[in-house]
Amino acid sequence: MSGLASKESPGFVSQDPPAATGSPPAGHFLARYGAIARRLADRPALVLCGKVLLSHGELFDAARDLGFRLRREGATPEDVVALDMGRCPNFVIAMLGCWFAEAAFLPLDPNWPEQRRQTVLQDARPRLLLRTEGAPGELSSLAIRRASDPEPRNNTRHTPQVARAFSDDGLAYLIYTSGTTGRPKGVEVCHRGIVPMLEAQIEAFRMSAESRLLWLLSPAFDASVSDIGCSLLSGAALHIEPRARLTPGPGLPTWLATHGITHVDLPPALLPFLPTSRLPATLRTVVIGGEICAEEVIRAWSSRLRLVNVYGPTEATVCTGLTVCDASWNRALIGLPFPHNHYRVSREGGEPCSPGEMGELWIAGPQLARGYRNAPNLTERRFITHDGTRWYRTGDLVRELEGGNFEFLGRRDRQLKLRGRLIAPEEIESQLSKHPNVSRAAVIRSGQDADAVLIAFVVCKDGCDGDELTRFAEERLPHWMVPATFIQRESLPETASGKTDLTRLADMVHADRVEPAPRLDRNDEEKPDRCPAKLEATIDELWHHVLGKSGFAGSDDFFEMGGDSLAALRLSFAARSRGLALPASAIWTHPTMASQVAYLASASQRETSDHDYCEVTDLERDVRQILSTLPPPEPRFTGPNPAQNTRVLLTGATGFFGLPLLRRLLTHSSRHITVLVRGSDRDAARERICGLLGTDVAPAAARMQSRLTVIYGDLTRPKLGLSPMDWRTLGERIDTICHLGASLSGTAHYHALRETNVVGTAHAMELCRIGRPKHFFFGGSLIAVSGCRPSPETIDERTPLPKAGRIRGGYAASKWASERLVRLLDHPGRTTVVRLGLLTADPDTGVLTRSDNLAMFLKALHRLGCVPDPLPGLWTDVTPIGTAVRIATELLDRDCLEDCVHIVNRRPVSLADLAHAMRYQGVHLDSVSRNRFTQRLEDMAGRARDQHETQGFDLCLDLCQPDTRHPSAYRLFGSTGVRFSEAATCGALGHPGPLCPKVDRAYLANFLDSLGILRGNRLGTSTRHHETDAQRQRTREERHA
Amino acid sequence: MKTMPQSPDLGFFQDRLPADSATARAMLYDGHVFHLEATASTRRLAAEMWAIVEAQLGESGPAREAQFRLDQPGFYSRIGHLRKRFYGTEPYHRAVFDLLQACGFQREAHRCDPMRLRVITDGGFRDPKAAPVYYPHRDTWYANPQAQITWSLALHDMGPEDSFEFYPEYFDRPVRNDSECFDYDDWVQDDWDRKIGWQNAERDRSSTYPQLRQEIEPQRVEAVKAKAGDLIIFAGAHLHRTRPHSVGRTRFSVDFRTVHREDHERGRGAPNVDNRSRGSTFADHMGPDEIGNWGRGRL
Ligand SMILES: [Fe+2]
Repeated sequence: MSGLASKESPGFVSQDPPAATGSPPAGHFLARYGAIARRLADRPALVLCGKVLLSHGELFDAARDLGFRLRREGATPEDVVALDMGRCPNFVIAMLGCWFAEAAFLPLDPNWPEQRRQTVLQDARPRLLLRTEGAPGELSSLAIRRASDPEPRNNTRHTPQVARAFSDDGLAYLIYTSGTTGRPKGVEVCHRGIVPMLEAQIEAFRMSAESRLLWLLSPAFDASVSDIGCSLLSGAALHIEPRARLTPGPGLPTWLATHGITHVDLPPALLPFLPTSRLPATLRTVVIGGEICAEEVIRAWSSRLRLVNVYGPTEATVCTGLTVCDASWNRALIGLPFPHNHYRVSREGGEPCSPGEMGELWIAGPQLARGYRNAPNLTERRFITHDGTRWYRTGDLVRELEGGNFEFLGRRDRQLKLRGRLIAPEEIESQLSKHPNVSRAAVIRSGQDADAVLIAFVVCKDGCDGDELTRFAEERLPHWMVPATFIQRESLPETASGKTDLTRLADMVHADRVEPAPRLDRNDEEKPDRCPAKLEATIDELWHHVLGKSGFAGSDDFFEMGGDSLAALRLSFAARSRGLALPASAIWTHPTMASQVAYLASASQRETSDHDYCEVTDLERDVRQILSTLPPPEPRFTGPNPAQNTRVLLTGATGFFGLPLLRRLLTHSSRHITVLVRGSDRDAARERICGLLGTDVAPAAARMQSRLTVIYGDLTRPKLGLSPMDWRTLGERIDTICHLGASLSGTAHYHALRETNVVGTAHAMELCRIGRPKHFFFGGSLIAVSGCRPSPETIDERTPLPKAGRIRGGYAASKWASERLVRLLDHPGRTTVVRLGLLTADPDTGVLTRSDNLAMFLKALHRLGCVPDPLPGLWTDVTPIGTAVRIATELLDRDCLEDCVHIVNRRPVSLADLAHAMRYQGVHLDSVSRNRFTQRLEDMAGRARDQHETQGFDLCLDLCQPDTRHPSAYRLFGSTGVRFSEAATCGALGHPGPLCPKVDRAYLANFLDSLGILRGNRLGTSTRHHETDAQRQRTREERHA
Repeated sequence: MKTMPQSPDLGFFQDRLPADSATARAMLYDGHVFHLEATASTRRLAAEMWAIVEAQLGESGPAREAQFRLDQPGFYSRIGHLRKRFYGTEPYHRAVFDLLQACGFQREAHRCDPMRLRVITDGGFRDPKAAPVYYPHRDTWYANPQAQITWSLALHDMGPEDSFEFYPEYFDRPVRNDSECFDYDDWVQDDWDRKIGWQNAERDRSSTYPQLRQEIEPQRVEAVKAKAGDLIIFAGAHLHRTRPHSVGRTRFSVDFRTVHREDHERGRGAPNVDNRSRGSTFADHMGPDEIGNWGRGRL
């Protein structure tokens, strides 16, 4: 009966003490959010630095409790409560708490100058002041103080004694904006317009309970109401990073990726500094507003994601309309008003403008503020009644376009008169921003009367030339609008709301003009020794060498200019040849030319290999964060789960392990296999798989076709990119998941692999929470353990993942994180981690690949024709793919498995053995000094003919290390200094062990032969070829038998 | 059963469906069973269907005694005819959705498995091939969604001796079973007819037919006693069984199942305590837009 009871209860207010003044009307924020908080009680609401702080249910309760506290402290309707805190979780609780107490909140930005703060406090006269006194995450640290104001409140229009019972007309917040006079004015905003505004935004931003919005703005900026409100009313998670600074560079994209942010509201000025190529796939919508942004930046961004330009004055509740930007963006559109709002473009006298005519924008509708606090005259001037309708005069100059959209032209109050002519400085700024090198511009007037001139401040991506800008402006503007002076700045001062602070710019002019002729020149007087200009020239040359084109700018992104992981490797080698240490992993984190210059300029202060490392504790945090973003598991039984493993989902089926495994599962078992393939549609995906399976499988296909289902999806997307119904159907159909899908890269940074390897694993594993219990096989790697420093001496199936230390290499880090995630994520079925050794081509079983690390390495040595002397004591574990595939198939048959099994060669082979085997087969390898070897390597790497060769040379770098104990050997020589064991796995399979063949001279001979590098190098090849072919023939016959 | 009504005067069966269908579904997923008294429209539907049964089986005596007058193949061929008619023709598809709508369940939000005729003969339990019909089971063991709801319409007065019974304590208590052997995709792969035939005595499917694999000792056994046109609504996840009987007449009833599409998609439904079957019948359920076309060419 509980179902009925909860439906009839009016919700949260039923639990309020009798003193409560009633329930909010249906359109009130608290009523809407109450419903969300009940429905999504356990979903994360506030996430601080990646940690879920409060769920929606908890946030709602905390806010209600605070509401009671505020009432006990004397807050009554229409009272103002000052929130003396920055961007932090407490702010959200406090904001809602005020509304529960029917009070209005007033944000005080801690970064304000004391004078502004005092001015605001004196004008607002808050009843109470809320301050957070602990760390940002300490929710108990909210302190309520009575504002020291003995006088009766200056509140004549409203009588607080009357219980207003959550009226729509109640005051919701008081926000101070900078007036043109310099004195901040307090805008009194009522509840009425908030929910309609938020709901229109949520729809336009495409927010849902799955969204994660990053709040980056100052709470004193009313757009924060939108950030907070949208994420709460959509049931999404609001991510808060109190220390996050909006600085250009790779930090923000990395942060966005780490936290899986889907939505963010950014100051437009930031956009040019964020390379669109680095934007994480998770990011769906970016909201901009409040300022004009360079057109090509908007075009570039809108082609990558949903870019929404919002428009609205504080006086009309944050945002009155918006427009979704697209690739045709060529003017500052502000969009249509929301359906409940009305726009009118008016002439000075109030008559309506005709379409296309510039005029002032007036707004009407429920979002209009009550007015300015303590400023009835100003209120009267700006909020007017015209033809019986209350309008707000925005002071914005706009014109209505065909089709109903509106274009923003400038501010009425920024209009300048210069020698008799009216000028909208925004128009100049907008033209200057079209220059490819200008990311931001601000134009002001300096001086009086006849001495007055226009001064343009510009932020350039690269050095700009003042003459060039003058020419550029002259081509586009009437001569009276061309600025007399250009001043280049690293950045422009901003107001709390992220707009260019024109007042401070004007002050700067006075300071700057003292200096002679502020010409636009590069700011390179510092560090003459480590001259960035010189470094820049070198990098420019190297880019030219690698990318085959020239003329790069500092802000150019290596990967946007055509670079890929291979090119990054080549760049790294090329840099080495100039004596510059620019590891490929650093190129990923420093993609722009400017950042690479900066990286190299400061290289001496840093251990160069730092970039390759991930702290295990950081990875742990990241894994926990990813887990926290998953929806809670459906209630499932965890009863016995007899082995079935007959309907298998295989991810990574196109990979060099997945493909032979798929082939074997189809040919050697009767299992039904569903493979998840990336592709544009089902047919294409199926074609791709069938093409890869090849002709020897295809003929038998009639029988197997019915056992192979190909679906297309994407590991990096929630629910694998499947529709909710397909997701559920898949979850109910399969009983086993073999998750091999991973991105394999020797050089990429953890963050580049995280989405596919770690988040993708979470997505695949989430399927275990749907339908019947499933067996989850995870294709892990021993590198997750051996790649860690310190690492255990022996690694067997019971060796846990290291809980401390550092991991070398992004790939190893991603395998650590994914195994960790697999072990933490609970589901009703069983989980088996299959740690794989170094998978290598397997000539014995016909499973061949020319791109495994060992093959690439041996080929590179062959091309180099030399090895360093002495040879470093490196060891590699050769795990033939054919063996691995056979063992993996056997594992699927087993009922009782340990949580972890190993498929690895317990008998490693040394570098000396490899070199010896090559020489024995007639490959010429000189012994040279390490320096000679390094030189030769760098020389040859620059001339690499393909990706495999480059990667092979990259692997040879391990041989240049002076000290083998130095943990650089991680990709190929992972068994150096450790001992791998697969004894428990042998036991589980009833296998006498070892699992893998001994890698002796004969094995290596066969291996080298299969690589085709022996031909012409030694005598007597024909015999061996003959043997190998016979062997292959035998294998095929066995398979068809 | 914490959510089941315990008060004796309330009884196990609830006689009123909440007006709000979301609440009704939530109660069903919680294990509540509704027994709704016949309304004018359900009475008329039952009477119409009964007339069709009588037309097939009643030419020389009462339809409920036809099993004694006809030889087995003749009897079952007529039953087969009736089954196909109720399960596969448009008027009865329409009737399902009309009935849903009349009960406040939004037609568009649901997909259904249409009317199946249940024919429980006198002494039928003695035929070993028919044994599975009488096993206690959950419908979900046959890959039916956890959100599946069964609606049973009495065509004549019945029970409790010849009806079906529930074991409420076992609604959320696991029992040993071999549902893992049931794979829906295998089941329908080469024989769509199995879809309606699997509870049919003619077919010996017990090898892949999930069964209870333990003795149960229910403290409470709740049997249905219904009048023609009465509607019994329950979650398919309930442990229940058809009562074997020898009352001297055949029992006829029809039932259909419904799944709320969004509930299913979101994983809402009765708790899954012991079902390990694979695949899902959901995709083969009929939407209101498929009335008349559904299953054509397969039946
Ligand atoms: Fe049943």
